[in-house]
Amino acid sequence: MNAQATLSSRAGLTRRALVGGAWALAWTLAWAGALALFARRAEAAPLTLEVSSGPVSLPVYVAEARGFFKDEAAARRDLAIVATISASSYQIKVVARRSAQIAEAPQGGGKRVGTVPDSSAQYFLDNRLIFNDIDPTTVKVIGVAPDKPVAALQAHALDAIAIWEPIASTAALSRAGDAVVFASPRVYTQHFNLVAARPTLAHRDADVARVLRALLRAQRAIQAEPGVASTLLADRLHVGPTQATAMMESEDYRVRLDQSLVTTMQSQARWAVRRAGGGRPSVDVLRAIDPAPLQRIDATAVGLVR
Amino acid sequence: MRIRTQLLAFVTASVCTGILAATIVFAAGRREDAAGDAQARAQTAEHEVAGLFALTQEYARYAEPRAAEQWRLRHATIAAALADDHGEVTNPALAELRDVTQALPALFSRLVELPDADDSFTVRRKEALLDQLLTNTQAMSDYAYQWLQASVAQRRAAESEFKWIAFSVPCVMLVMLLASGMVVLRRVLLPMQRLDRAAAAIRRGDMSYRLGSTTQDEFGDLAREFDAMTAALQDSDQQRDRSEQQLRDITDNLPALVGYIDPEHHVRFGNEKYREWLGHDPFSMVGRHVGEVLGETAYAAMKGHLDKALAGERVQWGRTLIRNGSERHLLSEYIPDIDPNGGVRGCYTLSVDITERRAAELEISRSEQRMADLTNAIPAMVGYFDMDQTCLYANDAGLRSLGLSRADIPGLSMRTALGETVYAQHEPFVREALQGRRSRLDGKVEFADRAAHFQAHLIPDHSDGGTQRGFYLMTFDITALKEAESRRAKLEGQLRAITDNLPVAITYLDAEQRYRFVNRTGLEWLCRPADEVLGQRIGDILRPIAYERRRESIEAGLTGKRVTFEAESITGDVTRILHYAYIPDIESDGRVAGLYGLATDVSALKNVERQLSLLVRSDVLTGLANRYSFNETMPLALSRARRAMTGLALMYLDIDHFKSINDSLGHAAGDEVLKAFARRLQQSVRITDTVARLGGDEFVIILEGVNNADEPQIVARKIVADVGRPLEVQGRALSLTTSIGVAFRREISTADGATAEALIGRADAALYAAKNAGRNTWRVMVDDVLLAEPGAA
Repeated sequence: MNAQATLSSRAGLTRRALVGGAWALAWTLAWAGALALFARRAEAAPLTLEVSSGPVSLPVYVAEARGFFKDEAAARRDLAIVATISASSYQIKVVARRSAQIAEAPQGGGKRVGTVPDSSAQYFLDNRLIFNDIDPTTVKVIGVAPDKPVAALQAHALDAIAIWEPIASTAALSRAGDAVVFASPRVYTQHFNLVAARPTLAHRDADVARVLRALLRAQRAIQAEPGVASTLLADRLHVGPTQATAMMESEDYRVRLDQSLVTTMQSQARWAVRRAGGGRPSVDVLRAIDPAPLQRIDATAVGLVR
Repeated sequence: MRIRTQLLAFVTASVCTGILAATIVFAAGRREDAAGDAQARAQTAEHEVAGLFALTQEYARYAEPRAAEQWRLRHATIAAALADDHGEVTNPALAELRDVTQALPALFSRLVELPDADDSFTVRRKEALLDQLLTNTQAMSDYAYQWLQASVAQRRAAESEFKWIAFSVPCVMLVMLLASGMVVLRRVLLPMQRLDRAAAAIRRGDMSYRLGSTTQDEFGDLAREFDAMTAALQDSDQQRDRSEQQLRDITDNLPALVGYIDPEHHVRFGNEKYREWLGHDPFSMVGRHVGEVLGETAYAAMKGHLDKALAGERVQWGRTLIRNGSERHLLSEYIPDIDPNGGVRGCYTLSVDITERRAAELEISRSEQRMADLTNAIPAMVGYFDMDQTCLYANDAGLRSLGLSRADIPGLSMRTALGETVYAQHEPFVREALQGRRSRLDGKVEFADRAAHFQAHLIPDHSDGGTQRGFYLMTFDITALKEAESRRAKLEGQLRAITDNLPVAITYLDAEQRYRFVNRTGLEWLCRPADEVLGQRIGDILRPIAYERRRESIEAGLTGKRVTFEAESITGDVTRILHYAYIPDIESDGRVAGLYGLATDVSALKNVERQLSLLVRSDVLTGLANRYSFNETMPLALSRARRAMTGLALMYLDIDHFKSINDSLGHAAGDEVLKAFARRLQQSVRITDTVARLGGDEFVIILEGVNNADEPQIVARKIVADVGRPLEVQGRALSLTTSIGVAFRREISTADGATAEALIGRADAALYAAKNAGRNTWRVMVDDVLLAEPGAA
């Protein structure tokens, strides 16, 4: 269990994520020597994937449910962005109470909007407000834990929330006729990435390759049998089949590494630095991506410009 | 499966496969074209997106309206390229590309619409919108690149698929062609080859060749039909051979020379008789000239007739030849063989040996002459008439009696020949004869001074086939016979008058025991009229028991014996004793024609005889059997005992001191005692036992069916007791006793000792012993042993 592949719950790199990522990188490097000592023994240890409980994790669900990980004898050893396994411009939504007199988007004037602080949801909320010519500072953003927004909205403690799926749909459904889900103007495309520690990539490239092959097979399975995948998603997220199908239709389940990932991460980095009060960021997010494993397996899946 | 069905299925499958292959190739081509088109559009889109990216950056830097305008134009170009996909090639990248392309103008418009200010919100807003625009444009570039990749891959796949199909379809068609060829080879060509071989075999004359196919298809049917035809042909050939052989067998066994000669006088057929009669091999004759076969002499004799026959005329001629050293006569007939068009194809020759037939005809002629001589010799008129009653023959006697000559016979009718009067008597019988029935008539012809009687027999004449050809008339002069019959009838009347007045029944029975004559006395005794009796069998007239008493005598009489006997005849309430005498009527040839029966009534005489007999056998005083009767009875009793194998006892007894009774009381009293003694004896014995008085007071009793010596002693004891009962004679009471000697024989045989005389002697000896024993007792002698005392047996 020394090696661990971590699947970031939010692909967008917030400041905390960047800090966490640096820490994880250091931590991973610190463990690299020890891993080298136990590399042989660790080869046989299982690989653990941490995933988000959302439609973005469908490829992992499919690979696990269909036994692709077992087929590929996926091992556990982690770090770095290895691949985007899903991407969506509609994954994060703004859900408002109609009774709160919010027509199109959260207006100023003291409307209370809840979101997970420093997360991609807040990044999305800011962009969404700016797109609508609203200064985010005029909106009362209230930080909530990921499992709280629905209850807060129901309790009228919030007028609106910005949250990802399936919480957004659950909130909309729970509010019934009083809920309003605002259409997304594609102000943010969320990438859900496979991240692993570089030592792991160096020493366990075969295991990572197996994981990638399993995910690529899952991608093909989703494309070939969307009904089966939808059923699996509904089971795993405990949602209805219609809701699951709608979630799937808003996702791009292709294992890739595209240049747009870099531009998105750069934008998020600038947003994070600005929120931290800093100047222009000097983060080269391209260095946080290791396209080699995916390129070896499927060169067409890599569209990075280096 | 039927070949037609199979070929149809193959053609259908080939057409379907061709259509399917064309469709597949066409579809593959369409897919390849679509993939190429998609690739081109993807390339265009990628190129335009790159330009759009540059324009976005340019506008961000300079905010020139020209750049904005170019941005929109380029975006519109991209949107048009994305919209024109015909729905043929889709992939997620394209879908994403469309989505982001659709969303981009809104962002760009927000950027363009930003106020030209430098407040922090505006700056931040511009920065954010630019980030979103660049990020989305980059995403477009990524998606366009991915779409291009997918399009290239799809095009390669379509090309590969097209190549595979382009290779596979000819292969499939080739396989189907090979399969069709195999089917045609196996189902058509090979069966045809077998049929060719079969046809060649049939042409060679091998009629036994059979295909023997079991295949259920057209060639199988054809092969079976071929086999059936071959079998029929073989049967036909065999039948023709058999017919030829039968014809040859028939002609070979005909008693004739049978041949066939063609118009060139060549022999085409000759039967075995040619070999047998003429020494010519019938097979080697075929094809040779008649003159070469039979010799020029014979040919010269027959040539003229042969030419006539070959000209279409049927010819018959005779000839003589020497065969096996004897002269034979042949009757030859040449029959032309005429084809349906009237042409002569040849002629059949049929030569029959008529030597025997000529001899037979000669013999018949002689036989007819003999028959004529015979009919002329018999004392009758004989004639033969056909069904028209025309005379065809008459014997000399007939011609003479009718005053005709033999020259008058042709055309002579029966009516003319006999004259109207005589023919009128014949006419009903002629009709009978013409209907096939024999008839006979007795006729009479009156002359001036006399009458002549005749008897005519008309006898139908039938051919061998049963058809009546005419009838014979055979007429006899029976005048003398008629006169003799008249004389006999007169004599019979006189004889009947005599017999009817005799007191004797006179009858005549023929050999079948039928009454042919019964005189009046006989009819009176039978109590029946003559018409009920005459012609009837005696067994049907007499009562059964009466006939049974006479049957043996009648049968004996009919065998030629003279028989006399007496029998009782009961007619009504009259009983007669008749004495019969059956006298056989023996013909001159020794045959018994019947018998005469003479019955005389002897009833009165028999009554006298019966009375005399009774008188001779009875004792006048006692009414018992006398010595004469005893002498008749004793041998009969011995015979019965011998046949029945039983014992017999004879008792000899007298009255003790009878002389003193006679002397003291007189003979009248003595007679009374004798009568009383006799009654008591009869009362002491069985009715079947015989009690006889031999004379004086000597009596004997014959006991039949005695089994032992005790039984006669029981009788003797009873007699002694009965006799000893008091007796009153002439008013005086008398006491009688008797002494009895008994002779008993266990069995009666022809040996000494079993005769009547011997038994009487032994009984007398036993009586003497009883007298010596003091009288009023009995003694028994069993066989030759005298028992000492009574009851000692």
